[in-house]
Amino acid sequence: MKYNFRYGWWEKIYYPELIRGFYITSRHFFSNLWKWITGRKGAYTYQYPEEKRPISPNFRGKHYLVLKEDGTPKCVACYMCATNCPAQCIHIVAGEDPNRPEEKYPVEFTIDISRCIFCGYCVEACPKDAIRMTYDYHLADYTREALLYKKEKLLHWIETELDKDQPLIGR
Amino acid sequence: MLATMLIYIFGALAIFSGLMMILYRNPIHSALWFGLVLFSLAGIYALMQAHFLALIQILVYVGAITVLIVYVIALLNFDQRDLVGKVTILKGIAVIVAAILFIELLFYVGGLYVKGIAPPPEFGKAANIGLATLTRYLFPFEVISILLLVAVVGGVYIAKKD
Amino acid sequence: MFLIVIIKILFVVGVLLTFAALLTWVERKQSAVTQDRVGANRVQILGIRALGLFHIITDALKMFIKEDYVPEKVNKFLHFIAPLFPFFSALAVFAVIPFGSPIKIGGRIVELSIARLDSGLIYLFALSSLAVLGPVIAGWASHEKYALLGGMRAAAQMISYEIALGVSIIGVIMVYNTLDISLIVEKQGELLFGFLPKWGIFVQPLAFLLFLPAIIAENKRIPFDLPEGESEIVAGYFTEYSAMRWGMFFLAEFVEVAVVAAVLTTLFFGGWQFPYLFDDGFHFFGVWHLPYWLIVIIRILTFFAKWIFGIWFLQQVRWTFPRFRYDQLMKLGWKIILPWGLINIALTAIVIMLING
Repeated sequence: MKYNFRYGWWEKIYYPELIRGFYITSRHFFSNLWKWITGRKGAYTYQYPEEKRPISPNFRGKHYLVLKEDGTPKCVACYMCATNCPAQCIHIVAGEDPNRPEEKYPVEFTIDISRCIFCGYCVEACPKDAIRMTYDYHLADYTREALLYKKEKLLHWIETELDKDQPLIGR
Repeated sequence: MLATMLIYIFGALAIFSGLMMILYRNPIHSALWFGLVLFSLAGIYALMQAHFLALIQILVYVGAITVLIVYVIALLNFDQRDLVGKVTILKGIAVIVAAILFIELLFYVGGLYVKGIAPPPEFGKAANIGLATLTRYLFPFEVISILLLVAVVGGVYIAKKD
Repeated sequence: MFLIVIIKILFVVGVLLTFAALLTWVERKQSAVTQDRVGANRVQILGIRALGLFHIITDALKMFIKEDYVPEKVNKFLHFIAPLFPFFSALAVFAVIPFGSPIKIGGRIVELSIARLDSGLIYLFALSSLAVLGPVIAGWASHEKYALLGGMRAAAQMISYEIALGVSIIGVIMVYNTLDISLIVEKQGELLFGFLPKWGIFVQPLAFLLFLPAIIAENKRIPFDLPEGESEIVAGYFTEYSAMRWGMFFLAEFVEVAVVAAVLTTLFFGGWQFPYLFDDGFHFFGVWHLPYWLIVIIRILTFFAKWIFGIWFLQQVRWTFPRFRYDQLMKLGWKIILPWGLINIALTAIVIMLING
């Protein structure tokens, strides 16, 4: 690319432009300092563990499985989500419940969260509204095994682990 | 009392570091000892009430000349083994000249020491030095500046050659 | 008399080292506030963060307990003494800077500077020129190419800018007609045309504009930090330094910032002179008499206020301008500041001749 800018006499005497630059940085300095002094935040930083970013209402985070009123999973082990999953991270083993022979139920329901790409297709595909997503993005853990979310965890983690700083609506 | 003692200390330091300067084989060490010689000379000047001269000595010689010498040595990056030369006629002449100069200085300074001269009043003040360089010693001053100009032009010529 | 000098030395060294320690915090926080960030604030003692002030303590602790790694082939002795040069020369420079008007204690006049020298300005330049030895020796003794390059750059830059510095200040010497810094400050208390304080910046504006870049370059701070040049030569002359020896260079730089701010204050902003404040009180539409001790305190506070403003200014410069290229640096020193300094000398001489008839 050809650099076409040519310095005029104003830039060549140098000090006016230096003063302009200095004015910009000190304007930032003093306006931010004033904000800090008057008890407001003078920075764009979120100080993460104490302060969290506001999250969009349609954020796609950790999954959870929805329970029926009687405490059993809504899931009927239809494999729709597993078939739809582009990352192929959902593993379901279907079983028959002798008490309710009209429906299958998931004996195992595992989401490999380390492979999940959080596309949300499983939620879209589910005919029973049995799987939903939360705004929770705290996924780090110490072992790979802990990142395989088993059925029990998917059913119940939301009751204990989820930060209740935003309501779970429309997910 | 303190001043006399300090003069002896600075004098001893000057002689010692001068010896170290010529005895060390590593050129950088020699250069730094040279800096110490100049520094102790500045100390002696300061004790002789010539504060301006002492400070100029530090500013020009310790702060600039020594640094330039170190700079040049570091840039040249020569092998230390090349520095151990053979005895040549030129070196012999140099030794003889240095010896004669040394004896002369010894007699001259010794004579002054016996006579015991005191510095004139207002000795070493910046204003007096300025006045002296621009009136009584104007010609040597200008000659020296021409000499420096010649050196600068020569340096530029050598640098531009390639 | 001896005791007074000791007290003054302790006071000045204490203030300078405190300023240097605080400047490590100021450097972080000021940059953060300028760049819309928060800045270092994670160190806490009993849950108190104190705006990150405890980082000073942890920094010092880190530097002391870190491994002091000395590479195998360095020149041990030179490697050891190199950091001492900039540090002690920066501390020593402050000896001639007056931080208040002379005070009378029991019939004895005490100068509020460690030493009042007949040629204090030359002392200032002489001692600050000793600081060059540090980077040069460090660069050579480290036995490493980047360190050597950094040392070479430092030597070339600082010697070039010493000349620019000396030439640009001659106008000020001519105006105040003395080399004694205390006297320069005293003369800055006079008024120009009856209303303007006779500060250096008002009588020698061109000298100020030339002196400012020259002294920042002498200090090796951004935008003239080519000897460090971390994007080109790792860390320049202190590449092979670690722990407290590196800390000495680091601290020396901050002491130098404080000293440079004090020098600027003294030479161009009237030192301890408060505008319109004379020995007997304010002269502002009539004379407002003030007790002598109050005037002394006002003057000391004035010096500190100007000094702190100078430090803020230098730090803000450091966080505003990008680094120069090496040829631009040399061009600025030799082809711009030096000729304009000479022009300034000629102009000042003409004006002085015209005024004195």
